[in-house]
Amino acid sequence: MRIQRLNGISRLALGVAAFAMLAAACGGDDSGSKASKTTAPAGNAADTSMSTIRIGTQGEFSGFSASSNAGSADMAKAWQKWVNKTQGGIKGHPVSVDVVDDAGDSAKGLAAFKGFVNNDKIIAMVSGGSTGTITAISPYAIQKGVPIITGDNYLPVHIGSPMVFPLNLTIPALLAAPFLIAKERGLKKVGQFACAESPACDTDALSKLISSQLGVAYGGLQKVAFDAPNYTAQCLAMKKAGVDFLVMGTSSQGAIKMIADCQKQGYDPTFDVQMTTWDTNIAKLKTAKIVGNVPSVPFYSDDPLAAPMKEAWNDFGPGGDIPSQQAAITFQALEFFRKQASTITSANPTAADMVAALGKVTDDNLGGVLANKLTWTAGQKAGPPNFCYFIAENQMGTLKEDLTAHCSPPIKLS
Amino acid sequence: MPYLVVGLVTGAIYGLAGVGLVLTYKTSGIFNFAHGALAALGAFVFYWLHVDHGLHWAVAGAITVLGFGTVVGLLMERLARHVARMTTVYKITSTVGLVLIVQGLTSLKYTPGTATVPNFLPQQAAFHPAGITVSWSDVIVTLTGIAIVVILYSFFRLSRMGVTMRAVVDDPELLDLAGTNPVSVRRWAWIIGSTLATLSGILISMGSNLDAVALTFLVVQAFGAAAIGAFSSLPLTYVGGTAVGILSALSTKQWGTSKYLGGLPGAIPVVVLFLVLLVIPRRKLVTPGSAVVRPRPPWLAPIRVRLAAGVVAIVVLALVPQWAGSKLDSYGGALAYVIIFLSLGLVVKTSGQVSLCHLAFAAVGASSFSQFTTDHGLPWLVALFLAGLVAVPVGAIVSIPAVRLSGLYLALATLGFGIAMERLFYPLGIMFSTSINGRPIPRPSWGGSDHGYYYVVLAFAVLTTAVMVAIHQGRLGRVLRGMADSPLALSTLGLSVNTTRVIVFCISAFFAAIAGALYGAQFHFTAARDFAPFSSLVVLALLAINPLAEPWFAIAGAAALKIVPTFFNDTNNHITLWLNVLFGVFAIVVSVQGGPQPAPAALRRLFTRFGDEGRRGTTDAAEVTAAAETQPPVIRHAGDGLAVTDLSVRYGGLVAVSDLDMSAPLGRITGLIGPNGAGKTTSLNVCSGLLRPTHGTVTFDGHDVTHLDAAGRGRRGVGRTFQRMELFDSLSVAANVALGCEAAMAGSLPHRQLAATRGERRQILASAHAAIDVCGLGPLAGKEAGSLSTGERRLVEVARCLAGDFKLLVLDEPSSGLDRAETQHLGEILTTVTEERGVGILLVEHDMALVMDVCAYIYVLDFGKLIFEGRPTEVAASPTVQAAYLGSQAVGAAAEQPE
Repeated sequence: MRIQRLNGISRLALGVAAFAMLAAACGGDDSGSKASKTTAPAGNAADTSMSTIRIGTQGEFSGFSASSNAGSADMAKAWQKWVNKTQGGIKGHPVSVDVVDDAGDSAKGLAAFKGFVNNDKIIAMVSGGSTGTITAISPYAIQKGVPIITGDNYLPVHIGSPMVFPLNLTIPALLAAPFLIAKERGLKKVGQFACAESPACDTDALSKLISSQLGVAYGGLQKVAFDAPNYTAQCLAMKKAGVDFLVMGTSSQGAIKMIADCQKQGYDPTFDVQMTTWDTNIAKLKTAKIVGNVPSVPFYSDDPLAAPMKEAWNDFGPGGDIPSQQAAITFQALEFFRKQASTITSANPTAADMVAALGKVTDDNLGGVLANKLTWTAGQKAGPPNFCYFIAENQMGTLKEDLTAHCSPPIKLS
Repeated sequence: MPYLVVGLVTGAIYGLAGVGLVLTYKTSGIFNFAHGALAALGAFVFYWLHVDHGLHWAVAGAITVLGFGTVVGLLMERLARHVARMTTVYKITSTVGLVLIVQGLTSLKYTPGTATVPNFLPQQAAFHPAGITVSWSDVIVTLTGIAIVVILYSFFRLSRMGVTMRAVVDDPELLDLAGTNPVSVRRWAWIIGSTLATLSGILISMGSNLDAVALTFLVVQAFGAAAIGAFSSLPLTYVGGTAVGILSALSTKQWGTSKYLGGLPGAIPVVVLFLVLLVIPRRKLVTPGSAVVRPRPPWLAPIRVRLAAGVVAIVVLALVPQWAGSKLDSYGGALAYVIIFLSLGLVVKTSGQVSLCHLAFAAVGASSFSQFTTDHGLPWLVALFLAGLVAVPVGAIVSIPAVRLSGLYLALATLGFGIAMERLFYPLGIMFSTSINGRPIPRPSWGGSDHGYYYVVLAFAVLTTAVMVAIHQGRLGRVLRGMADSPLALSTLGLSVNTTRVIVFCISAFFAAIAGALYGAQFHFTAARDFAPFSSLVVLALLAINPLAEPWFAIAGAAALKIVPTFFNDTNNHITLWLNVLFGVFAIVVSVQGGPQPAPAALRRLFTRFGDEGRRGTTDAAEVTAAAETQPPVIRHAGDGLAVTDLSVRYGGLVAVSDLDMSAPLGRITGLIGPNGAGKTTSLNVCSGLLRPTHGTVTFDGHDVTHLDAAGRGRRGVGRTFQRMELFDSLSVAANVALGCEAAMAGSLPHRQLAATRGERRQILASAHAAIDVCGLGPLAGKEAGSLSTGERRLVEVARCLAGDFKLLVLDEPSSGLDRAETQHLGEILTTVTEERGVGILLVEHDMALVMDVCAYIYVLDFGKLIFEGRPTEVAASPTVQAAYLGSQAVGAAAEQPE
């Protein structure tokens, strides 16, 4: 088809677009600091003559939740290199991690997962989070017998699926944790900011139930839209309600703005930010008291338990600060996978072998990295709900963590 | 009180954004949907200069606002100039393209959430009204907004440049004649508007993460402010922004914790937009009048080629499961989107309307279907059908603005509806449940496997295509095509256009709902994120730039949206973003051209070897010619005809017509003459039902029709032509004339608008043939009406009236543009139909020879009053009439001349 000669504006539009594309391509994302890398120690490399163990990982690395997942894709790749070059692979087998950004889109997620299973022949999918797509891929995972190890919160689809192995907290416990933390600290009333965009953020009914069972007063839930110009009205409402522990059920960038708007009005409670949305923005805030329940060692931790993660990141990844808790959970989930996969004796591990290995997990908290001791039984739905958590804190710029497992009592849902 | 203060501060931001938006609309006639994207771009440029390159915030701000804002303004003026004469769809598409480009490029440069604009204005508390802390930053933003409004208001009122900016919208040629370059004026207007956009982007994003999507939609909320200002008043827009801010804050206090209304505070701006557009008097929503370049309809290949292509397409699609592998779900999802594109195409491409909330219908369908199957256990197919029906009243609600609005305002109303749905209803448990997974959607037990379900969706896509083809080939398709060109003409021909609008939105909603359910079942769950409002804009833009005819545009659009991205291993979503940028560029290019280009001549020659070019379901010349054997019976009409009594029409303080008594009986040609501005067209508009009189009555055949609308009068037998012709320009002469008969048959009842009986179709074709024959238009029957000369077009308009069963024809300057011979021919036609059919004619004319020749009785108006009536000879001899036309001094001077 002959393209008609473009008029002036059309030429100009194309020219501007081409220039802009070039400029953007040359720019690149310069977020995050880059420390100088240490030289990776030569050492225990995988045996390339053995079959490669393939894993898939996907997540929402762009779009709305991009900053909460910052570094997850890089961490997955860094883990791959670290394992292959310094850890001897998985019982000698090289490991390959395929990474896809599903942008939180079910269609993309399902297509990516099917590609992993049918084309890449993965033996497991290991993911830091991205709940929406796990829901979409779970039926196919069951059909194909491919396990999913996820750092995501423990949802009904997880409980009901024999192929989903969550490392994170059960939802009721996830919501109960802020109430328990508030109670431990002698705070009087818990309130919530919940994202207006998703119905899943509306945990008001469950929070009321938890409040009554745990004996902690509840100050209600205010919906907050991501694109609102300010959150002063919501802050005033919480202040008036006497809330001294405010749970921020929103992204990290939204939480930071809400914190600033509340503090401007002289309202400075303890803020609870969900750990799955913690990133360097939250970690570097110096003007607020922030806590969060976390299912595993925090990304900023200097504890020895975090050393392998930092080594992988610095030696084989971008280096510098690990940008988000999701990136840390990605590493921890991969390490959990590696530990269980190491029990496989077959020369060519398959997904069925992996499912069998996961079915033998008993009281395993990855040497203290995880807050919960996981127990999974072969052929049954994923094991007992996870109720335990560590506590992460940012006290006016001072980062702390409490790596003692705090556990929520079971919450009666009816 | 505290919330009032909070609202004032928030409202300042809405007001500032709204002022820039209204400014560019006032001066260019283009409503910039990309205003938010420009604001976002300004924020990004500021961040790049201030944070990445370390420039002082004031320097970075000055460069961004004054430098970058100016460049953007010049580019926008260039774009606006090229799309100014395009249809609303392409004006919107060009700005949607801009949004995509900005979002894509900024997301590529800065991953969302990774860049935070620092607070560069002082954050210290300034004062504490009602216990609220108002910072100096808030004060500066608020005062800046007020200052800008005051300056701009004064500028428009008092400065020459400001006045010329207001004038350039109404009549740029006149402005040019007066010695002011309209291009230069527009450039300044766009520079000011764009600098305001970049300024508002910087101020709004202060202390927030940079996110192009969020910033774009933040400024969309300013549309509510613009609506309160009636899209024209800058001070009112700013006040409107303040009002919206206060309402949002107060509703947060009142309903912030409400289970069902918790989303209302965030939805207030768009709810205000929707409601204001529903209630604001239409006369306030004036769009600058200008001839619009209608897009050429896509070329249709010969029927054999299309049928063969259809078979090939079905075969290829049926073979997809054999090779799609892991991408099969994406193909299934694409097939669901074929249905979405087809349903939207009915509204946009066929009926010429705009809808920016289409995916909301799909959301309703998906949610309903899930509940019918999972919660109530209904059979799968039954649940699917019911889910479609649930969306029908939603479509009817959206059609309410379509009844009173058109073009841009309809687009805004539907956009407001879509966003309000997302803010108010999507978060409710009843829509998508409170689970982050959304609602489960089962597949049918008899088609649950991946392959099986693919064929289920394919079957529905084929079925929908067949239904759409049937609609396009039938009466509804014909009237929709006419409505796309001239709903006014259709209305006067007897069609209740409002009913048609409701029908098309309801049908469209039905199919979109089914598509939503099918899409959800493809992925086993449905969630709010699948139906985001911005996706409705993208779908509209993809539809608008598509050069193909139905149903191919649907296949191409769905493939572009859902299939193309799967061919790239997009590990970091960058390819999707680049595709968005590319699509945005195409959207702008096509919009500037006024629509997709027609098929190349070589391709057309290739296909027409297999038959004649296809017709798009309208009446073609061959059909009409074939109807020559079936002549309609000649009915001689009888009745009292039209009479107006004590008619007065006032526009504010201006009296257009005063105390007019006039009658136009059947079987007579009655003339209505007078100098320019005498009130002739106003009187005709009242007679034909297009205008309500301030006082007086209109009767037809003894019945009071004063309060009957134009369509009602058309069905009773009053037809008309227009001073500015209202033809269906994209249709053939034969199709135009045939609609003259069919429109009244379709009438006001929905079922009659859907399809014609065979008998009706025969009657329509016979009437059209007779009318074309009387007017001598036989050789032109197959030509597109828009391609004819003025004289030929006038005759087509008359022929259209003659094809209908009208007892009285109201003709407004039908000889305008005709030469002597054509005028004489016209006079013969009018005389013939009066004598043979007993039709009455009320004729407004400036051609006195024609008037004197054909009229049996004449009324003369001057300055809205009846100054004389009588037979032609009496009128010609009347000194009163002569004075009206020539002036009393001239008449007096002539009288004193020696003979």
